[in-house]
Amino acid sequence: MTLVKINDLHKSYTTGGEITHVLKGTDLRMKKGEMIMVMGPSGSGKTTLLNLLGGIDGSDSGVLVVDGLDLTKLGKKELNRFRRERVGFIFQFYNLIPTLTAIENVELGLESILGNSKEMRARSRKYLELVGLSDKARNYPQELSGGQQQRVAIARALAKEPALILADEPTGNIDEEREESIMGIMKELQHQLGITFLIVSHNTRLKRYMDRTLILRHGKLHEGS
Amino acid sequence: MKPITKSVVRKLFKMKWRVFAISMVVSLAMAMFIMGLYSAVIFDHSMDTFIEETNFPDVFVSLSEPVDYSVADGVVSNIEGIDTYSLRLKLDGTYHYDSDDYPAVIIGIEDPAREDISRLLLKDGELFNGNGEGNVIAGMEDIGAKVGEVLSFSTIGIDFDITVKGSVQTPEYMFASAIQDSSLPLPGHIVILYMDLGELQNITGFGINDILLNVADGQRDPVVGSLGSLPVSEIIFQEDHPSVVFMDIGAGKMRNMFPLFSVIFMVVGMISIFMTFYRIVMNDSRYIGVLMSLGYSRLKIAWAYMTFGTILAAIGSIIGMILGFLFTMGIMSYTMSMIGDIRVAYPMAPMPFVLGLIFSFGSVLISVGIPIIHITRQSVRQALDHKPKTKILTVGTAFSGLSKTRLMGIRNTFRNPARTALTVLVVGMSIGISGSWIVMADSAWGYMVDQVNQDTWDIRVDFSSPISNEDATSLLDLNETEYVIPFAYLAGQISGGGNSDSTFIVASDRVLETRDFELESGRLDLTTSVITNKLASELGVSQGDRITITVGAKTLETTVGGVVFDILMQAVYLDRDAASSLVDRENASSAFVKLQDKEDIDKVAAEFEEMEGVAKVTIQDDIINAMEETFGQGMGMLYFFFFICLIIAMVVAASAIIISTMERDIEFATLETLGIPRRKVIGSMLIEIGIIGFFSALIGLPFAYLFGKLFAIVMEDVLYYFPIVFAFSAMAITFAFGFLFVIGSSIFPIRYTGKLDAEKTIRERTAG
Repeated sequence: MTLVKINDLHKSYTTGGEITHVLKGTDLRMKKGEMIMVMGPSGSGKTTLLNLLGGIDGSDSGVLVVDGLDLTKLGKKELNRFRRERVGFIFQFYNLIPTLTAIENVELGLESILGNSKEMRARSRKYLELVGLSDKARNYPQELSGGQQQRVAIARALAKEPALILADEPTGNIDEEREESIMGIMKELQHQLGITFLIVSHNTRLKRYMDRTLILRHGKLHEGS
Repeated sequence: MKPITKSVVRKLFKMKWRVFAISMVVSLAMAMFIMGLYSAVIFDHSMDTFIEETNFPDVFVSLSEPVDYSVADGVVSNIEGIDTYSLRLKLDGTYHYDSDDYPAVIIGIEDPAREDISRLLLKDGELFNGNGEGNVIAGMEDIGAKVGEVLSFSTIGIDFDITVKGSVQTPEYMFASAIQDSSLPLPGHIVILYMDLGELQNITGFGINDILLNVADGQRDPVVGSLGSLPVSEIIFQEDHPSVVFMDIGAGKMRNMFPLFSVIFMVVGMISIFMTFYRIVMNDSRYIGVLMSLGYSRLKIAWAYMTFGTILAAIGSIIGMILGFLFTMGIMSYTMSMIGDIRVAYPMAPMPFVLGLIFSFGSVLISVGIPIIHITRQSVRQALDHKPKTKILTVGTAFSGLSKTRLMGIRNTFRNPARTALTVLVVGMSIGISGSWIVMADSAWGYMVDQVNQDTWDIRVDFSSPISNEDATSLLDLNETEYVIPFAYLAGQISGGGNSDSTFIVASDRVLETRDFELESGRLDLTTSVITNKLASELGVSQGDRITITVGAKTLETTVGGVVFDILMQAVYLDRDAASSLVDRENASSAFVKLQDKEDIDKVAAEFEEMEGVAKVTIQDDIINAMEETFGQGMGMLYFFFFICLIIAMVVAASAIIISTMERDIEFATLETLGIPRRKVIGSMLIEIGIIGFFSALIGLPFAYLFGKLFAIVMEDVLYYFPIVFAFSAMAITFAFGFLFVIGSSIFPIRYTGKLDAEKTIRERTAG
């Protein structure tokens, strides 16, 4: 079953009066439960692709369907809802809210879907446990290590059980040992829950966790080795 | 432009409308600063201009009875030292309008267009030019005294009509006040009519009874001494004239009030400017670290940011000068309309603007310089690693039931407690300044009512010439009267404590019955003298001090026996024995009358007005009404200050909150990626601003009292002494408006987050 369908996707930016074409007719098909990594040189458009898939940026033209929704046709509110319910983000710098504890950060993503309910709290605890941080639930982000913060970010993304998780350099800010632990968790959840992952990274070590690796070059995706 | 400066200037362009918002902090602080200083200068200048351009007479001479024009002219024209003079016939009369009668002063003059002495300034219409025409002092339009109307007057029992050709202004009747000798400009219904001297003489058969003189320097005393052949009843020198007295003792001191505002707003402005710029620069710490790593010296970095500060200060200063001028115009036209609608004269006075510029540039550059010094004293590594403080107040599970966005709102408020405290303090101070106007208005009003109620008399009667005490009593003693207390009433000079001032002298053995005097100090000992607190503070005297009272050539040396509170009068009270060297102890110029039943006031007052020898009748309730009216006008100014200060509080709050929002833009971008509904994000911000607003408004309350007390000291000079009292309504208004205006400031951060580009923010904030 195809979860992501991208056809002839174009995206350009205007900077200082100069137009830069980032995506020039990109195509992509992702099956549900697949874990794909997109690699490419800096400025190749990896993050742009991620942002388009996450509905936080709009394309110029082309087809962009995620989980049956044509993102190019959605309005601001619908895109917000799409992000809330169907997609989860994991960032290189975690982007946790510093004024919320670990468990509250996880709850933050869930609250808009489940309300301030028992189910929300139970599910948050469950995912925090899944990433091995149940004992750190009441800690604030600044009281956690980089790896622990990234695990909270993963739990936050996973807790709402989205169709697609988009990760931008998820191990870019942690050491090799923690990288293994993080990727192990993500791989395990992919298998357990059938979650689809699209990971953007420069890190070739991550290839071994991937079902496929794609290279974004000259605005188009190519199968990698 | 050097690359480093260029980069900082580009940062400004990127900030777009935020540049304007930050500049507004500078602008408003500067505007209030300029307004305070410039208003004081304009006030002085307008008063001086008014006196000068009208050639206000040096000496006012009243005759006890009219004399033939040629007789008076013969005497005056032969006195050496007189520059110019004007012979007038001035009579008390009645103006009839709509079946009501109002007191009137009818003045016959030779030439209304005369400019060399007591010039009439035309406000509307034209100057009269012949029989049947006249000019009235502007301000009585509500009782029909306006251009084009035919007004009915009567004097000495003769009725006549005059067509009003124009309304005029003159310092002689700056306040066409029916309230006798009030030190406040209280409104009342009295019509002052100028008409042709010849016509008035023909109507009445009188000559002239009033002489205005402008005399050469140093010639005043010899000139006055040479008037002996005329039946002079009263000589008033320019400095003793009620208008000048008021300007000196009351309105003139308003100029002290405005600079005080400047100082207070300067303090608030400096703190808020510092808060704003300090944080802007501290947020750039990482970038400054990069510049340091590239080998830029502290001086070069400082120079670049000084350029940044200079541009913002320049924008703020331009707006500030314009706003300062506009605020000044508004406040001056309002102030002047309250004291006789004098034309506001704007002097060329660059100093307030220069000081304003020094203030705004100085504040901004200091605010930019301090964090630059702070950052560049660190190592490059420390500067690069600098992050805005994110200390989180741990509230445990106390609020676990709250939604996460609300929880964020609460915790964000306290994430940097010191900064929040400073924000609350500055916003609270601004709210406090706002509230102080309400506190003052409440206290002054309450005290005024208390004071006026202390008078026991109902009607005051002033006689056209002194009559014996017995005659006064028998004349006014009707069936309805409870008491009649005749008294002598004079205008004079008082000196003591090394100072000198104008005063009124009230001499009567029974004066203590006319009022429940409230002692500030000493005793109610009329055998020495009892003076009002305003006079005591003007002179700097207290109980036991020696004072000298001068009325014309007569002098009395006495001791201050007591000081009493009085909001209206600047007066000395004496018994007749004590005042015997100043007044004839057997005669009275006025009388206080108390009625058995207040219901009879209008009837009795009308009866008094009809009596021969009665010049003026004042009803006590009219004073209260006049004071209410004055306060009604004054309230407009108070509310102007109230709202201006609230706007400043709003801008201060907005500038503080917008910067902390900018610091947290990554968090707002994250919320967007999580798909958190906008209303929840707004709710979170409103909670944060609401808490700041709540505490600021709360802290504003003691500040309102503190500043209220401070302003009340200044207002004692301008208006009258009044104690600041606690009033729940003033507190409620201050709190509610303070809170609402701070909440109103949320529009800026809400708008900012609404326009935030999540993708760009995350990319920029997490780059490198």
